[in-house]
Amino acid sequence: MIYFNDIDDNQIQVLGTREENNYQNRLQKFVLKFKPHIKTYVFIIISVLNLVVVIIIFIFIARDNNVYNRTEVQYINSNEEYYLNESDAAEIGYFEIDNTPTVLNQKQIYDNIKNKDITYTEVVDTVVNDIPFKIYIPHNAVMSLHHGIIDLKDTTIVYVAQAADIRADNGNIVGDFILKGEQISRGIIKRGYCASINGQIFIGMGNGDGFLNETITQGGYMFRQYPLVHNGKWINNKPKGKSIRRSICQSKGQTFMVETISRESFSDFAQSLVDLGVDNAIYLVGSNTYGWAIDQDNIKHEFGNKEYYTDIQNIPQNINYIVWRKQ
Amino acid sequence: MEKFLLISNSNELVRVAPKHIVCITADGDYSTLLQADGESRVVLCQLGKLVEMINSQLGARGNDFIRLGRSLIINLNYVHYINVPKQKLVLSDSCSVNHTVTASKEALKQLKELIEEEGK
Repeated sequence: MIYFNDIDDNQIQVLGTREENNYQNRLQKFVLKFKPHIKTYVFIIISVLNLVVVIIIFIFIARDNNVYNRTEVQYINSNEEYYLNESDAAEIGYFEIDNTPTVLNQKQIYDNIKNKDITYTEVVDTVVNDIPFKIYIPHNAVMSLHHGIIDLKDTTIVYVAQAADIRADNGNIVGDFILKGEQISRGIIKRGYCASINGQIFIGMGNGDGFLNETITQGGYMFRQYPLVHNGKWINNKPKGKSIRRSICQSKGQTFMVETISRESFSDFAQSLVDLGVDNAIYLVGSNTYGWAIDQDNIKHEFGNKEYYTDIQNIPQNINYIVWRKQ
Repeated sequence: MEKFLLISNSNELVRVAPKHIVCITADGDYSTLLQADGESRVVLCQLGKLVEMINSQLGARGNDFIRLGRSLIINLNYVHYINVPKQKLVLSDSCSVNHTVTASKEALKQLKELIEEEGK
């Protein structure tokens, strides 16, 4: 196809304006090529709407799964101070912290003593931060540890409760365990310790090297557990969930045991001990593990389930207890 | 306003709408316009001259006209049937117009290709 006035018989010529012709054709082709079909418009709109919906759903799901991570309080060691994480403290309970806690003092402890020569355990019911407690205060008794099955008919016992945890894999006692100066188990995985040396009770947190050697040397008793309170400060622990909680505590030099009546979390339990006025406390095996206390009227206050291990054959070989007996 | 093709000399004037021109055939110094109503109009004007008139007067509308060889101008809108081997070209509006012309094979081949290209 050529564009000039005279052509031969084998040629054709498009008449009319050449530039306008080309421009119009090109423009037409361009428009037709890139003109989106209506269906394309619909598809694009639907795709955009779907994407928006997916984004909105993702945002809502991400918010629901956002778990609050509490900052753990550092454990104390011999050289560092620990701190109370205020945000954690505020989040501890399922209720507001009681600003006027019931503080245990010496006068309260000894108010009900009838005969100072009798060995018994005073049982006190109280409530701290809406948590019902039983407080077991031994009188004229000395603490020791017992390794193995306890004699349920031992009348010399005025208080007994399971002390150290037992490993589920190998049945060994968790952490250091010293019985009459003999170290039966080793380890400091549980940062809290309780030592009984010549009738004196020491509850603390950390390596406890000094107490370990002294306990061995003096023929004393020592075990390890979760620390709950140290120098009046709340200690955070990893175990979650709720259960009957027990602990051995010291307040102004007086040693006593505490048990919750209701199932509580570790953190709520520890905070309640702080509010109770406890200086130092470590955990005792809780849940339905069996124990008892003998009060001044020789009434036996049992706690837990005597059939906890269902059968004597199921009782762990390394089951162990703290035991308070007559001096 | 529709553009018209004006063919005039000292004595005559022919005014016709491009859409009504089916084809123009050359006849020496004369040209014959075949109109859509079936009437043939002979004008005193060579085919080459009419090409210039179409180019100058109709502008883009002139794109409807294709010159086939030296002696034929057709209106692209009336192309109905092309047979290259038989050199046969039928111009029709499927109504009142039906006119058969001949052209060289090469010209018809190019016309056929042009129409096919525009149809894409």
